[in-house]
Amino acid sequence: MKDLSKEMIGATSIPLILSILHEGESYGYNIIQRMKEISNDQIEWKEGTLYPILHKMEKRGLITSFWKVSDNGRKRKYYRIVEEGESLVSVEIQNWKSMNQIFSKLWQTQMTSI
Amino acid sequence: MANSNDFDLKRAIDNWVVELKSKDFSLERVEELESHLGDLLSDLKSDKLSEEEQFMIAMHRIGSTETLKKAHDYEAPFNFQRFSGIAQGITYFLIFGMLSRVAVGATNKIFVWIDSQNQLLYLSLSLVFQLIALGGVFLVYRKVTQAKVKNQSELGSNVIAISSIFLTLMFYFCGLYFLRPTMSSLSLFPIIQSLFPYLIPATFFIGLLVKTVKEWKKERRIRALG
Repeated sequence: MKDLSKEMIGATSIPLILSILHEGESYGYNIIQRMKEISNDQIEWKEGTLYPILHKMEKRGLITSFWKVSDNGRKRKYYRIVEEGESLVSVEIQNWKSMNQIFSKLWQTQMTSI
Repeated sequence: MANSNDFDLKRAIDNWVVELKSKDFSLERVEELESHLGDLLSDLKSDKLSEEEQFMIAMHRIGSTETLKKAHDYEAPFNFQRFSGIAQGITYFLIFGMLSRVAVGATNKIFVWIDSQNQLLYLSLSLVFQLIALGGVFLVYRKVTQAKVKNQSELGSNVIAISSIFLTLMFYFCGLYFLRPTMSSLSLFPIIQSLFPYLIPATFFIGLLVKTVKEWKKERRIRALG
């Protein structure tokens, strides 16, 4: 994991996963690849990290899972966001927008004072 | 360094799966990780690497089975679902059996005391308990219908446990209401009382069987896909 702190990545894992699943149902490997693509390789989840988080989210009722046989004949476990997860995404978007405004003001102030 | 020609990718994957199973991962977790490994190897195939190199890189990226186990245990330090479906059912069975005996004993004491004081109060309290039980059944019914609307078929054993509690309590208090000694010369009250402690465990044993069968069917479904 380059540049971004582990604490930052840990704190944002659930909203990030929910946002990816908001785009459409997906499976573990694809979620990792999508995250790498969006973050320009700054965030690279490990399998040992991602799957326990997915299972925890499923237990919390944010996502649901189902098995499907892919085109190449391999069975995969897919995850799909559910209503509770959608609600949390909306809340998180508002939270991050608020934080973004706060940081923007603070850093602008700090930069002008230099 | 091993000769790449001797390397058997399928055997290496099978050995890895066996190692995962030895770490006490559930079948579903193992299947998921195996599927992930398959996706990883498919991507690495395009890099013109030998099978052995592909497998080594995949293993490095996924991490050791010990690391996977530690990460899994960290997120779920006490995972009740790691126990088999039967063990869960037995636990519910014992807890519910104990609670039901306490409830029967407490109710006997309450109604014996009330009977000697005020019959109308006795009847009123019986009705109150029945309404509470009906409310519980209604809540369970709502949860079931909501789950159907959301296309969720997995309701979990909690619903079976709660519905069993409220249904049996409802029938119990109905029995008290209609069959108590002062209402009828032919009183079935003592018979109901003697049978009820056996009816409660019998009712919940059905829930235990349902849960166990559900777990087996789920595993069979996963195996059938492969």
